[in-house]
Amino acid sequence: MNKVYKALSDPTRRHVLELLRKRPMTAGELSEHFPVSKPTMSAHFAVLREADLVEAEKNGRTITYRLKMSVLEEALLGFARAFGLRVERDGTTAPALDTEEREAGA
Amino acid sequence: MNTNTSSRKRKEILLAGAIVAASVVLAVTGIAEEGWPRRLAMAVLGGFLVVSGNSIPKTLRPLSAMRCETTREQALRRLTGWAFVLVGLTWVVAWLALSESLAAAITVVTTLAVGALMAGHVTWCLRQRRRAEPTPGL
Repeated sequence: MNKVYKALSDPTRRHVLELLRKRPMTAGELSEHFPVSKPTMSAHFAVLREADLVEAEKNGRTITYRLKMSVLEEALLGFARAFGLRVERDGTTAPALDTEEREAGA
Repeated sequence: MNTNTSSRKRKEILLAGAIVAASVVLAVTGIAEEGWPRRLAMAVLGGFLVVSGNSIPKTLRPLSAMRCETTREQALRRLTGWAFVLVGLTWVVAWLALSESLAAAITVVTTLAVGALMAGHVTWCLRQRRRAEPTPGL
């Protein structure tokens, strides 16, 4: 569950999951929705895969992502989106930062 | 893999043993008044629906004969999971908190409603053919 919390703590990753709720999308289609670099998006996809929230299907050079969330995980996503939560390094919760703010802070 | 399978089987056996032991204790001591075994059984069944429904969107794969467009396939799996969870929670609350007659009525209504919803959704899904949509990616 720690991996799930980590995955849901970032607003960009939550937005990715919400986009995938509508339909499966390729990595390129998902990236078009975010003003961040491709390596950053790849890192987000990796976190989501590690948390087993998305399923990646490679077809030639194309990677298609599909949602793979249990009902509880979807409920947690809704909760995190409603309260805009993120998980600090010490395990406490706080309002979410954008990915760019966090990258600047790091 | 063998260790995980053995561990899971051990947990399943322990759970089954706990259920049997609890039933025996309730029956022998007479703690459970008439009607409560049925209430508990239905509540446990509701709990089973919640647990199984929770994992359906994650693990269920439609049979190849039922395959339809991926978007609809995904929507069907999510709908099934949520329906099982909500119905299961309703059963647990109804059978533990309400009268038997009301709980039985709620059970029938929710089962029929979910059955109709699922039948309609599966029919809608089967009408579509699965389309491959390759697009350039990263």
